[in-house]
Amino acid sequence: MQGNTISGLKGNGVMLSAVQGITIDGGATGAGNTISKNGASGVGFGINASGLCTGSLVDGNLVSGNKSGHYFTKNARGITVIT
Amino acid sequence: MAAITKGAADQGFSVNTMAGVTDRVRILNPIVTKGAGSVAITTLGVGSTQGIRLKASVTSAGASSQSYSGAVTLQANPMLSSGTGGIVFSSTLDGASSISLSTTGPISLSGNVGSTTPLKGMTVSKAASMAVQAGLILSGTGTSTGANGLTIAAGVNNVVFAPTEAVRTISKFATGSGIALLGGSTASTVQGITIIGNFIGLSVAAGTYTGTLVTGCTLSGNSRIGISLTNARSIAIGNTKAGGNTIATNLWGIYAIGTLTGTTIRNNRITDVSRFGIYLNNAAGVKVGGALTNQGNSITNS
Repeated sequence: MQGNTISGLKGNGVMLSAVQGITIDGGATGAGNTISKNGASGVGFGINASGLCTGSLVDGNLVSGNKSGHYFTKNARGITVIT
Repeated sequence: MAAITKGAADQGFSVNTMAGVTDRVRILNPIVTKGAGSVAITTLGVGSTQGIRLKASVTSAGASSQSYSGAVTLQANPMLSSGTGGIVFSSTLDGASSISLSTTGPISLSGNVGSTTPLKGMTVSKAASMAVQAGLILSGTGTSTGANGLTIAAGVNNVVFAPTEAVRTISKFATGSGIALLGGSTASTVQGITIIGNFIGLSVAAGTYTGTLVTGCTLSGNSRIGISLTNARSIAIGNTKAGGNTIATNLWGIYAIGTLTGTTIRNNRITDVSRFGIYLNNAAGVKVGGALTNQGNSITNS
């Protein structure tokens, strides 16, 4: 998942539920995602992951200004988040 | 017109009025040709009370074809089944009914469909290809629970909506999908369609969709999901060259679940979602955006 602009959503910017092997990152080209100002309804993270997410990686994104925080991975397993 | 079910082993059927706009050909009972007999109906009649008034089903087999050269108005929900010669509508097709098409050959819709009176649905259960070359308007008002607008069965490949300024709208299938792809459909181009006010705008079921692209569509006001992908492999939802889709004011913009190897979601504009822009649920193999220019999606609320 690269190069996306995800902004101003009422809830979470990115919702991952038991997603395995996905990369949300800029890669070698630095084409990360911009994930900002989500959670307008009151609760919303930049990236919210839950369940078994083995092999998934979050790295190299511009994540800012999200209502409830940038990352919520408490209920996820196997995901790597590099901030 | 009485049923045609008896006669020679190879028995076709042809009507050519060509006298004037008030001509009328009414098909009130089923037509079943023998052998590879084809059906050809030609008239200059126009309007809902003239032209070809199609109430019953038409069946032909073998190498047969069916051609409807004149304005067609549905008066019931007919099923047209033909052989390798295909099914051709060379003029308009209207009527507040649904139609089912099945052929081992190509389907061609070269006139506007539903532009005067929207159809209540179209189902393509078998075809070698399908070309939609003009407008298409389907409306689900009054249809049964779960009814879809345009249903494309598994294995129907080469479904192409030609690039045109014609109006294409599929709306108000409140408990079904505007467009339902029931299985693998390869080498297809779904473009230039406004899909609005359905339960799901476009639903793509399990299968391989190599070479199939959804581009230039507007999916808005669908009460549940703009685009739903379930184990749909190798389909492109927007791309850099042809452009993406506008997906607005749905509860969820794009919902993807299951094995989606080779599927890409690129260059789309997703706005004003009530819940999720893109929801990946137990999804694998899908690429959302990309490193190159215009591969990323814009997912925002205004």
